[in-house]
Amino acid sequence: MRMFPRSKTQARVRIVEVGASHFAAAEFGQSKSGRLQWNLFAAESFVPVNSSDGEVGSELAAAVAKTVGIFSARNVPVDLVIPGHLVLTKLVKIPSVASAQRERIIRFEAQQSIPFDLSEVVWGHQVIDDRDSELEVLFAAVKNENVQPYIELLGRHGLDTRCVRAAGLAFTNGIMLREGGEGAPGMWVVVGARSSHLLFRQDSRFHFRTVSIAGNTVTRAIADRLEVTFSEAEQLKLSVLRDGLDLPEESPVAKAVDAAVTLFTEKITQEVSRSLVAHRRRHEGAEPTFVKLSGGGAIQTRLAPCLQEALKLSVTTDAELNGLSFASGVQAKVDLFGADRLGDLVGAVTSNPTTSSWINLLPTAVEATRKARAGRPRWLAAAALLILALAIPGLHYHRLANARTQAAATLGQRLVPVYALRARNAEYVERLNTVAAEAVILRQLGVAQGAWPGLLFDLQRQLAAVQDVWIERLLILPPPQVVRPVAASRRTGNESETESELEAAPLRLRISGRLLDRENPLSRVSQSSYERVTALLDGLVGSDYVSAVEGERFDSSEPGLLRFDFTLVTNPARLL
Amino acid sequence: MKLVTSKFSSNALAAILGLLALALTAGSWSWIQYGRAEKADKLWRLRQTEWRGMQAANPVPIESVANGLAQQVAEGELDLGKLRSGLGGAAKDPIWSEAPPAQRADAFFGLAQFVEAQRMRAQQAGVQIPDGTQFGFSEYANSGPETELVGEVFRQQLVMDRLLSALWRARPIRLIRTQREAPLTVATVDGSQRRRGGARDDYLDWPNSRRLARAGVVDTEAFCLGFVGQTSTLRRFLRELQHLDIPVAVRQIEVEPVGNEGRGMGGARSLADLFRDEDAGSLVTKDSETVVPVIAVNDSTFLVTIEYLDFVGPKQKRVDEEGDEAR
Repeated sequence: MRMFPRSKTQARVRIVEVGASHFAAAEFGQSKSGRLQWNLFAAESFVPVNSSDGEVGSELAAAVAKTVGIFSARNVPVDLVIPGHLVLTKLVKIPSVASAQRERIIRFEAQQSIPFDLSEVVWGHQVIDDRDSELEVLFAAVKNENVQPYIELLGRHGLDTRCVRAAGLAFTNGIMLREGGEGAPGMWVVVGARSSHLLFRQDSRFHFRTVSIAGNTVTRAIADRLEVTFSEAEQLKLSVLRDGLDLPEESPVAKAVDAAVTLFTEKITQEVSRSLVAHRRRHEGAEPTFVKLSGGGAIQTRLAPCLQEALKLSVTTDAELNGLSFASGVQAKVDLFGADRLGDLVGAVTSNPTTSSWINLLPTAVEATRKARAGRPRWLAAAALLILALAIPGLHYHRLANARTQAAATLGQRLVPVYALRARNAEYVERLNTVAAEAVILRQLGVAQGAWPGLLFDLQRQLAAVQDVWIERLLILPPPQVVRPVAASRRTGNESETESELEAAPLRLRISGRLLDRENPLSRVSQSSYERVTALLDGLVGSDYVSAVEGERFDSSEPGLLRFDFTLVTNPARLL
Repeated sequence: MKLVTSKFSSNALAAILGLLALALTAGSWSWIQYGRAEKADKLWRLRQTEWRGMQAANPVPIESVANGLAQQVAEGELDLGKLRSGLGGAAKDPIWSEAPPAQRADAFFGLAQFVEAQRMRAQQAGVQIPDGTQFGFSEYANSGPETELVGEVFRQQLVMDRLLSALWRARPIRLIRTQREAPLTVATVDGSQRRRGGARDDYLDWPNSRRLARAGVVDTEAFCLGFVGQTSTLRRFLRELQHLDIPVAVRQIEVEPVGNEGRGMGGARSLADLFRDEDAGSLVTKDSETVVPVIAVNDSTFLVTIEYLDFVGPKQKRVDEEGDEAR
């Protein structure tokens, strides 16, 4: 048996099968040798009580709750196998056209073949034969309202349904994959609880038919005969046929069971025979060389001989699980439950959901939700990237702002004492400037303080040097007045007259004195007087306190006595 | 199915809104951080600029430079002290040490006592004084100065007291003038109009161009004393001034002979003209030879103008101004 791994990341495959009277959950993986390995298995059988199609009864809900616990991790999706009686299958032939038009024709044929509005059903198709001018297409359809409750039931247990298989089709897929296009033509009769599936395989082609004669046909007959409830009849049937309960031949129960089995065997044999004839006629199929029985309804021992006698073919039971390896304890559970009841489950695991060749009856809305959910991580990643892309610059600027703020604070702290020092220095410099200015002023004051005594000393020294000379008068002349135009800024209104302004000028001292000429007492002007008065004036000009001597006037009207009169212009630098 | 679809749509809508909110939050946060970073960067650059400015500052703001400047300031102030003491006077100016009278009446009696004391000292020194002289304060012969002038007049009185004391010690023959500057009233603080009560001769007009006052450093108050004496009297007076306990500077001296000895210079000529005449051979007549060219030692009138150097007033004014600014 081969396995079609979905991908390396999907090495685990989970299958849940909802039957008319059982629920099975299994997980398959891949062994180290590459074989399909059955890792987990749990199943529960139940007797349905008054539940209509697609309605989840309490028995099923309880069975699901008991079994799905084997799936510890809930993030692995499951493949759901739904009961075959819920699925309408139909084989039609359509003209072989170009692939561009094929989908339109297939959809048209589906509308013709499926007796419901297509919006109310989930439907799929599978091309069975494309070798001649006609296409053989198998349609399968299930009403949304019949499949949605199962998906929701699984969803309530955290199981995400990846694909939905019909029970008979899943079995067919398993057979086709297991047998391939090799071997002699054969026929499989899968007897379920509420429906049975007839599979004709020839080469790589197969024909498939669902009939309503199934295990419940036996139960219903027992219930009618014994006038008991369906559940009680089912219990009786299972006890006798599966568990081998030995009843007295004359007991009513034994008679009822025997009659029911006989009736069922006759009906299914007739149906198989009729189907075989139809297969030969309609599909020009070859004569099958063998018949294999499978399914929980095939447990009665009389079916195989009856079919063999009617069909004149070899009839055997097909419970092959060859090629499968089992994890510890799984095979025992499988054997206990009945490997012949798990044909659909095993067939589903061999189906490849990534190809469109096998019909997937997953509702479109659920599939869209799944796709959206599958794409959610990418969206989340994109959103995260977007947010990250927006936040990363912020992070950068946040760190930059913190670093800059810290650096500025550090630098600010270093600047505080420097500012204090600068302020101190500024105060010192200002004080130095003030001190220097005050020093200049005080020096000037010192100069001014010594000016007049110094001038008088110089005068006295010159007079002493010349001898016989006196100063009689020392007057301060008013400074000369300089008349100049008034500056424009001093003008007011319409005034246009000029004002005189006193300018600061060196001090002018008018000095009057007498010079006695002892050597020439009778002379009015002698050479000696000339030399002496010249020496006096020259000496005064040489004084630091005098910048010029001007306006000299002399009066020699008295013999031996020269009156002189001159103006000393003081040195402004001496601050007189 | 509709339930699933609507649930998906609402979830998707919620997710989109959530994503938008997150993206908006992230973007807003990034923008806020960008703004913060910009501000912080500007502040950091400003600090760096300040730091570089400090490094380039002159003088460099470091402890050693500051200490050096402090040392220079201390040395400069020491030099100032030496210069200040070189100008004479006591270390603590006595003019500002004495508290002025609190009332006009007190000032009046103080001035009256001052006049009496000066008369007494003049008499003791043998110096003639003008009859009824008030030594420059005749305005206050009958009442004290206005309240706002009490302090200034009091300080003028103290300075005048010291100047007259120096003069008495110089022993002149006669005191002929005591002048002070008219005190500034509040209304005439610009100096254009000074109050001039009492005798006109009490007041001295001292031009600002001659004044030694320097703003913020020294104020001056001018006084003029006139006396009759000889050159030796002037010399003694100048020497006495140097030993006063207040700093003063002689700013002007005028001398005139007493009487009409220094007559006019009519007919005077220049020296060259004079000796050119001599070259012409003009001889002195015999009569003229009889004139004895002896000039007796004459008494002279001396007018001495003195400025009192007030170093305390500007400082006091500066302190008052700083106090006003602080208030």
